[in-house]
Amino acid sequence: MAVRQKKQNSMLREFVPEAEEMIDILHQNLHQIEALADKDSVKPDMVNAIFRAAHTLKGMSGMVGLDKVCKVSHHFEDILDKVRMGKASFTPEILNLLIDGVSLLQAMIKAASLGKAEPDVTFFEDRIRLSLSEKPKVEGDDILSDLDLPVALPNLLTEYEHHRLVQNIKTGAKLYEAVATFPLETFDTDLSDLNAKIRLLGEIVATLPGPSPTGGMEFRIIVALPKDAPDLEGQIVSEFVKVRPLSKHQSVVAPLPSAPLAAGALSLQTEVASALPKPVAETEPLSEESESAAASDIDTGGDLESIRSLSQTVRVDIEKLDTLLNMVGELVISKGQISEISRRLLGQEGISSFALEVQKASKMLDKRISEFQEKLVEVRMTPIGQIFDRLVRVVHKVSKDLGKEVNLLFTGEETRMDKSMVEELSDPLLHLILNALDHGLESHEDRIAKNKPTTGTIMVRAEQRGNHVVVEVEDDGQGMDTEKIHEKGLKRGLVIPGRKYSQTELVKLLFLPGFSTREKVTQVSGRGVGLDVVAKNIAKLSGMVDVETVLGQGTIFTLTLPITLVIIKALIVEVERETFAIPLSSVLESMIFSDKEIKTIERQEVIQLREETLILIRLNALFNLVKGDVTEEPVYVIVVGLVDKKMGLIVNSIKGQQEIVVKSMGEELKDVKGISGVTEIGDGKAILVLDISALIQEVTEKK
Amino acid sequence: MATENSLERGASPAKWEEVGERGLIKGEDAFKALTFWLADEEYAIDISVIEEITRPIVVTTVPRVPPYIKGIVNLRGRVIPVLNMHVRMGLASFAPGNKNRFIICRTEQSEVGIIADRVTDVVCLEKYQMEPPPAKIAASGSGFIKNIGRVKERILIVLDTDKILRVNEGGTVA
Repeated sequence: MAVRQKKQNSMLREFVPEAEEMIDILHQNLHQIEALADKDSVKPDMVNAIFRAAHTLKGMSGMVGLDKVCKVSHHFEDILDKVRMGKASFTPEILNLLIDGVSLLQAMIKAASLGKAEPDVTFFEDRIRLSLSEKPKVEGDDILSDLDLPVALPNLLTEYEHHRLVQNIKTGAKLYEAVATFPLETFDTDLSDLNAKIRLLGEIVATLPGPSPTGGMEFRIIVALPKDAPDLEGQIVSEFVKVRPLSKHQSVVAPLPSAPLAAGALSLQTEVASALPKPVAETEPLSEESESAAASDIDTGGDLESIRSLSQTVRVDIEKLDTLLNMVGELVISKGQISEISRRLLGQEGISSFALEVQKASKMLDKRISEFQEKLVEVRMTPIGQIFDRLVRVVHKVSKDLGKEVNLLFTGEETRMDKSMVEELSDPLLHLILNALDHGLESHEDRIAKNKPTTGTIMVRAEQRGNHVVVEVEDDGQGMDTEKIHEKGLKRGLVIPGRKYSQTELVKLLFLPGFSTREKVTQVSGRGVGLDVVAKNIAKLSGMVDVETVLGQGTIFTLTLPITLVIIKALIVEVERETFAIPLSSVLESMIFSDKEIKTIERQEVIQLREETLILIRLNALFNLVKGDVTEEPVYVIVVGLVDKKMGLIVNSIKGQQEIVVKSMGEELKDVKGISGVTEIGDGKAILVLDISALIQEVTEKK
Repeated sequence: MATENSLERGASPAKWEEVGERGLIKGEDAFKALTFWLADEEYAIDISVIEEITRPIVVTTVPRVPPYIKGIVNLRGRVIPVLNMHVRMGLASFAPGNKNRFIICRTEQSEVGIIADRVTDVVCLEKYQMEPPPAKIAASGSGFIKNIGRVKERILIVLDTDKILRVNEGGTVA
């Protein structure tokens, strides 16, 4: 019970600053709208921003159990949705209602942060209900008949898209249909390029995807350009895109149909306006009364309304933290210089009291800087649960599309990781979950036939293990048929005929580019992004992916990632006069061997390490380094890897362990395989940080 | 005369659109260029792309990149790739000397350094001093040479900054 309470509190602590941010967004946008003379000219973006803020607030408050905040923001959403769809407009009444609502929400959040009970909100709900009870017009389809649209098209549009289309016709915008056909492999980027181009010119009303008769993907994009803009045909020139105007008589269409309709809209507005004041006026005093009652409930000592922010949280741009970390990195270097001086002094002066004092001060500095660094890294840590919320939303939608019932469960939301790691993890994780949903879980009927519960389960577990975070995605679906994988591998020439493959080896084939056992491309996960991309992205984070699967019972994908990539402990080694840093998180042990102990199997150098045969890699050969004149004996072997994937790196000397700040190689060189970044360790020279998982992958692939 | 103000930072040295009847180039106005030596040839590069010129810094060799990338340097915390211009231009191999300078240039994406044997001075190049590279060179090279400039007795090879500083994405050995 106590644990639960504590968790609740920590969630609330995280909720308050985020909720305040949403309130700020609501305030800002509402005031901007209020300042506009012509409320009809409110940009859809602005309405959408408010809508989203209300929606986020609803979701967040629901999660921390603030039911009333949730309720009020839900009403907000209702009103804004109506405005978005053109079923209501920003009349002064509605605006006032919204602005009062935001103030109410703010007060409620304050109450929650002080641990008080939620105030009564029924009066506000009544007020909203009243203002929404007006029944504004329903827009007819007849206005669309002026457009040269395919017959079925209006039915394909969502309510919002339909509304935007009608709205654009009314304002006399020029409408076009652009039919773009892109190859399957690249349509993601092609489409976003095209969208970006169109957005510069006007609005994208709707995008309707479908398979193209000639192969590839076809998108019908309905575009609205401002009245006086040049024709779209002249501006989008591409062999993949065909543009045609939608209006039957584009040049003259603008003023004609819009005039009567605009008048209609106008009369309707006055109608609404005249109908509104009465009920609102009736509720007004009541609401004010209860509002003040509510307010007195909330305020602690009846003191003045404070405009101080409730939370003690500061939101900081991650780049600023990066800069700070870099500065600490420089500090660490200066620290290194000082301890070097202290050592020299001790050597020169012998054990004099002065030298000892310097040494003591230097050690103190050492300790302080380490603490500083530790705290700074801690600041960057965020709970992985942040991305879980986003996953739920997508999965909910996709499961509906697929007609599959799924229970998405999470554990270990509170597991902390570097913010940038969490962000980078979200896409691969989403892909694995969608994969489980689409390929893993059987269809409703199949599950019944197999005597499984009709609702499938996808379990996402996060857990910290030492310096790593392990994230598992488990489904109780059909598992993978390794026979099929083997067959396909043979077809692709990836499997040597006649050789015995273990299940693990076969499953690994899935991570090769373009290897998908499902023939049919589905909308959900067969989108060209395959498991190979997941593996690549995880490798970029110095992580690894493993799969376990049992046919008929399900599959578990396991991602193992370091907690942070920014400051890491590393082993500094020298290979042929070049210095490299190896992340300590991937080092298992290091040993000295004599050259004689190195054997070769099929020209591959190996050593016997206890019961295992370990593959040896010479970095100078792999990296084509110029051979220095360093003697070969003895050699150091650094055993690197994780669990079952190990190899030994031969190095000339080990210079010690150190904390390093890893920087990116820069835009130009970021894709060099086997190198994950750069660091410096004291003399100002840049030192390359090895990407062990990429190296292991490379070596095992070669084999 | 020189219209420095019209030169935008990072703009290409000049957009010589067409060649007139007498071999004179029509196009934009004059620009300032830094001149430097590589092997026994004198080069010029638009000064507007240059961030700073430094004495040699220790270069860390990066494996698996094309030979024209000498490596990376750590310049006050910034990680910058440096190009071996001798390899890039197909000249005799680079010999370190105490007159060597690193010219750090700003590119669209970030910064790139080039190594010069020695840096001479800054000249103002006007359009009448420029001519297109001889057809043979233009055809054989990778288009790094934009123009040939003549300042008194000197013959300057004017580099195309966009091209010379571009580290091909496909250039890294995958």
